[in-house]
Amino acid sequence: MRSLRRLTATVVGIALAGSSLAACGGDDKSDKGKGLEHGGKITVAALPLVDGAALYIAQNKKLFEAEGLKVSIKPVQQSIQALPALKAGQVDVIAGANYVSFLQANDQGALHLKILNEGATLTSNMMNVVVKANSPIKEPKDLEGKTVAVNIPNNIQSLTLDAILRAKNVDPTKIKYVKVPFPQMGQSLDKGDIDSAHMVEPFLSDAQKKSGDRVVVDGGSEPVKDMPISGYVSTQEFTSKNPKLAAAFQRAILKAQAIAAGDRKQVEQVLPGYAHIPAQVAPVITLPGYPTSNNDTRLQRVVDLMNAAKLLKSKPDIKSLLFTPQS
Amino acid sequence: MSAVATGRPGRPRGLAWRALRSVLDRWLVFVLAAGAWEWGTRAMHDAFFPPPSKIVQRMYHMWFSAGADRAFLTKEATGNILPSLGRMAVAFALSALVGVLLGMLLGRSERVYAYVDPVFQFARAIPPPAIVPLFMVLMHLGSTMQVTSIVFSAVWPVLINTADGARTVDPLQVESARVFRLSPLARLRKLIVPSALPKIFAGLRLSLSLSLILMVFSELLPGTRDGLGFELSDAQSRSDLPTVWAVVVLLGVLGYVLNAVLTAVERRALAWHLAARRVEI
Repeated sequence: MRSLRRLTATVVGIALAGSSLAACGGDDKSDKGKGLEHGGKITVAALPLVDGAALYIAQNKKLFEAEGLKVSIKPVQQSIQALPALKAGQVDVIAGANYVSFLQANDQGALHLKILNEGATLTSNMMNVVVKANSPIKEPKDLEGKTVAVNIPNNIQSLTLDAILRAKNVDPTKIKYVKVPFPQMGQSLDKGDIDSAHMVEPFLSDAQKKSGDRVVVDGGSEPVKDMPISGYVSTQEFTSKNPKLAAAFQRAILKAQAIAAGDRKQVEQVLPGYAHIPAQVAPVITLPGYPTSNNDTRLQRVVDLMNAAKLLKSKPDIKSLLFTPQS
Repeated sequence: MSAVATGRPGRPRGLAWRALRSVLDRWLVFVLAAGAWEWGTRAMHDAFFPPPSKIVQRMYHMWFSAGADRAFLTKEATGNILPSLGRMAVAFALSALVGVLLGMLLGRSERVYAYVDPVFQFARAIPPPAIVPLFMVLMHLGSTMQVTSIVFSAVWPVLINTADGARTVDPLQVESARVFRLSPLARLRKLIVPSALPKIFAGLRLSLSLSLILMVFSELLPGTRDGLGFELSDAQSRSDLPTVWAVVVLLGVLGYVLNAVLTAVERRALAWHLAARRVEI
């Protein structure tokens, strides 16, 4: 095992040397290393979210190196902000990309989407609607006519919450969604500026434990339980030009997803580093699901829900959007 | 230039031709630029840069395609454009009122002006986004915070220009006013305000454009539910680029129209002022 790793390291070293020499010579797609395009170099834009933990696990456990990849990570605040960079080729992959935003971008023709890996799925109590402890809102039905704060309006939050509320016989059109960024939700709730807030972790745990806020809707309940929320996305242009690179990245992330799904300690270890979640908070928050395979039936649920909510003009074929390597 | 080449010099053309020339002069560059834009974006064929014809189409369908009974304004228009304009109007009126009143007071006292000027220069340089956290602690989300954040930036040009105008009244005129024993109120009305007016208008014009820019900013703030800024950020999150561009173009048109209105007001106000001066001379 160790000798194998050493061998890989040597190979990667040679590949890097080759690619840097090639760079001196101008435009050249070095095919050394594991025969990967660009000498295995890949740039990933990543969000400071729990969703993207596998990326950092893969990096720490040298899973990328084992595939001959050299991954450089660029932090971004919102996945949609990285879209122009992805399109322009400054970034090859976006980690933690919100499916709703990217399916819409694909639908509008803003980019030709390819999903490399599934990243996270919705779990019970990872994204809940909370109110103040003394709020008159006792059950989901009471939310009608009230304001609910969401991070980005008309996106994954209202999409999933509307579905849950409809299932509970609540009329979602009577909900007044207000845009408030996650970090400011607790404060706005305290001041009474908003009636309720749809919070994610770690803000959710914080609001419950520190401010004693009460949960009125489990944002991960049926019919959206286990629904995919974010993933690792790229473009058709990138995957058709760099099929081996994309396949190697997919393999490395799949291994890291399995680690994340199998042992939450591994996730807790990487959270303080990139997601700014303190080490003592990491063990208490509710984690999303980390799917260990890429499943088009599962992804189809997002498309169906978006179509029902008229967030998409057309019905995309999820199979063609999901990257499958040619063997 | 071609007009010079074709028309014989010294021979006056008809009124119609002159009117046409003035329209051409004013719009030729615009038409050429719009043509180049249309051609360029069609050639690029990029979803991020829709051609202007598509943008105008989107603007029409989104905002102005309703029936005559609604003054052609769709729900989208009355729900977003009107609240935006309302916020801007209130904030601009507040900025003008506070700016002119405070500016007048400060400009007439050399000493107070010297005291507060550094504070103003300091406050003026703070970009509103930097103090959003402070706004969030001090104010409730919604209109209060939105209007305050606009006024916070838009008040300075009026205030500082008014103070400047009030300070720099012609000393000879001040002496004359004293000789004629004008009451302080009459002095303010007949001398200080008129002589500060050109500067006040210069300040107002800056404030107006700032108000428009900050209106968009204020609608990106937490707690927003409507407005052009909200529509812009919402369209961005949906990668709906024709809508993004429609809002951008509408903002440009609003800027142009509002400036034209203010210029017309200024011309009337200053024409009176100039005429009065001419009579005095």
